[in-house]
Formats: sequence, structure tokens, C-alpha cells
Amino acid sequence: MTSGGSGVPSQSISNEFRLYRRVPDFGSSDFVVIDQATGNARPTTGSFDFDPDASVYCRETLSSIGLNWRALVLRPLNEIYELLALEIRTEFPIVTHTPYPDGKALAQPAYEFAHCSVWPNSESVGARKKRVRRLMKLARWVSSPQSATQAPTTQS
Amino acid sequence: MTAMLVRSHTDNLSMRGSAAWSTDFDDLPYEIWRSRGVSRESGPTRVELIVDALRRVKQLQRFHDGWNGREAKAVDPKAAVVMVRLIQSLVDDGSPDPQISPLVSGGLSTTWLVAGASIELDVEPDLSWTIFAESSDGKELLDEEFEQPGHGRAALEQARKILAGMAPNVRIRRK
Repeated sequence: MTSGGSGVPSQSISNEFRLYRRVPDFGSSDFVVIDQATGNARPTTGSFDFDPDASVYCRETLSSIGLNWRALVLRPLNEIYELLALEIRTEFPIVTHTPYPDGKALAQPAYEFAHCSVWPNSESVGARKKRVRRLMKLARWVSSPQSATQAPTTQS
Repeated sequence: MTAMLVRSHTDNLSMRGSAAWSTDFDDLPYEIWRSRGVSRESGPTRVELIVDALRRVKQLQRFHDGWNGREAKAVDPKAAVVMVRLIQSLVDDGSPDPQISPLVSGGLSTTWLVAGASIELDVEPDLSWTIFAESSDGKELLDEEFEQPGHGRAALEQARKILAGMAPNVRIRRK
């Protein structure tokens, strides 16, 4: 079975595979919210939006080509979160391996071989957001930001 | 199988050399807000929160189409106005900070998060909006969708009360 545009054979994504979601930043941790009591952080619901699919990267596939989550960190404040394929499928059943989603394999970074797509269900926006919210609570943080231009502060 | 994200953001702060910060929140100094060089003990005023929200929304409006490297839309200016107005209707002196982020649809999302209790407010480019709130133990308090900005007064009033209840637990403010 091949993926759509690249001609590269796609693989089966087992439920126990770990899928990484890169949470983007544009200089100020735009998709991370801080709990103003505990200081803990979590991704925003919008950080897992569908466009038209939601991109995730399979840890096992990255491993098979000698890469790990660090290959996904493109900007200093990118954060990587992890979910099991099973956890995602509980909310969005269709999760497929879609290597090199933008077509030509040679023109894309190697980690795009591990690209997978989570496809939205046919449901209202509100129902979809509820599912995403549940996923964001399950997501496990993998990376730390290397630097920050905006940091939460205690008041003194 | 639910588990909140376990990373402590303060650990990262210590990695960045912020030696003055403590992870022991019982010892935190009394909350003081610095604004324009004036320190206040009671947190930001409503006006300050709204001005900061406006500033943040303006910052997000600099994003162009494709800002996520794919099909994301630039923030719709009308959605931006509606979001600020909704924030204006919810916040009060000392409220938790509205944490605003873009949506790939061209809308905006605002989250308030304190001790696990949260309010999420999304405005789409067609000006429909959703509001969701849950308590710190995960109980759903509010979950509504509205087609127009002028709708949802009762939901906003309820959200206002929830937000007011979250305010006393704020210990950390974004710069």
C-alpha cells in the first residue's frame, strides 16, 4: 500500500506505537498554556487542530531510520508531546501512516518518513473539540524548550 | 486513564537559571503585579488585562496565511474583535490571565487555567463561538456553542462567576 503523493509505501500503525505531536511556537510558546496555580503546562486544544488532518510522527518509524523526537524540534520553543496510537484512536479512529505528506520524498526532511495523519470524524466542531480536549489531557510531555522569550513569573 | 501533563514548568525555569523561583508554592511571596513600574499586590486590573489581551491579539494578527507551514489561515480581524469583547465581558480586577492562541481556521482561542480548573473560549472566523469550562476535578461546568457574538449572555455570566472563583488561586503571572 502506498501513501497518496510520495509513492513511498505506508506502514501499518499499531495501537501500541507512540505518536509525537509537535506543538509549534512563534517566539512565545503560543500553543502552551500555563496553570497559574501550579506552574504546570499543557498544550492548548488548538495545538491539535485538523488542517485537514492532524500531523503526528511515529516514534517506532523514526527509530527505524535512526532518528528520535529531537529531529522534530525545529524551533527553540517547539514542544513535543506523546500519545499512544490507541489513545488517539479512542477519539479519532482513523490514524494512518502518510510518509512525506507534501509529495516528493527527496525534497523533504528525513523525519517526514515517519509522518502520520489523524483524520477528524464527521461531527460538529464542539464535539470534535471535546475529543481533542480529552487527548490533550492524556498527552505526555517529551521535550523541554531550549530557550524562552516569554516565561511565566511569580510576583515578588 | 486520564493523567494531566506532568511536566513542571518551574523545572524548566530553573534550567534557564532563574534561581529566585521556587517550586514550593506555600512559600511564594504575596502576589504582586508589575505594570508600568508600579507594583500592586492585588493582581492586574481589568483594564490592564484587556490591554494585554489587545496587545496579544494584535501580535497574533501578524500571522499570515500558511503560518503553520500548511493551510492555516491568518487570524480574522472580525474574530479578533469579538474575542477581545468576550474577554472584556468576562474579566475583572485580579482575574487570571487570558492565554490567547490562534486557530488554524483563522479564529482565536483563549484559555484560563488555574489549579486544573479551566475555561476555554474559541471564536471562529464566521463569528460563531464556543465556551467550555471545567472544575479542577474534571467536572464539566459549561459547554455551549453559539452562532453569533450577541448570543450566550447566560453562559457568559456563568463563565464570569467561574473565572472569579479561579482568581484567588492564581500564584503565577505571565510577563
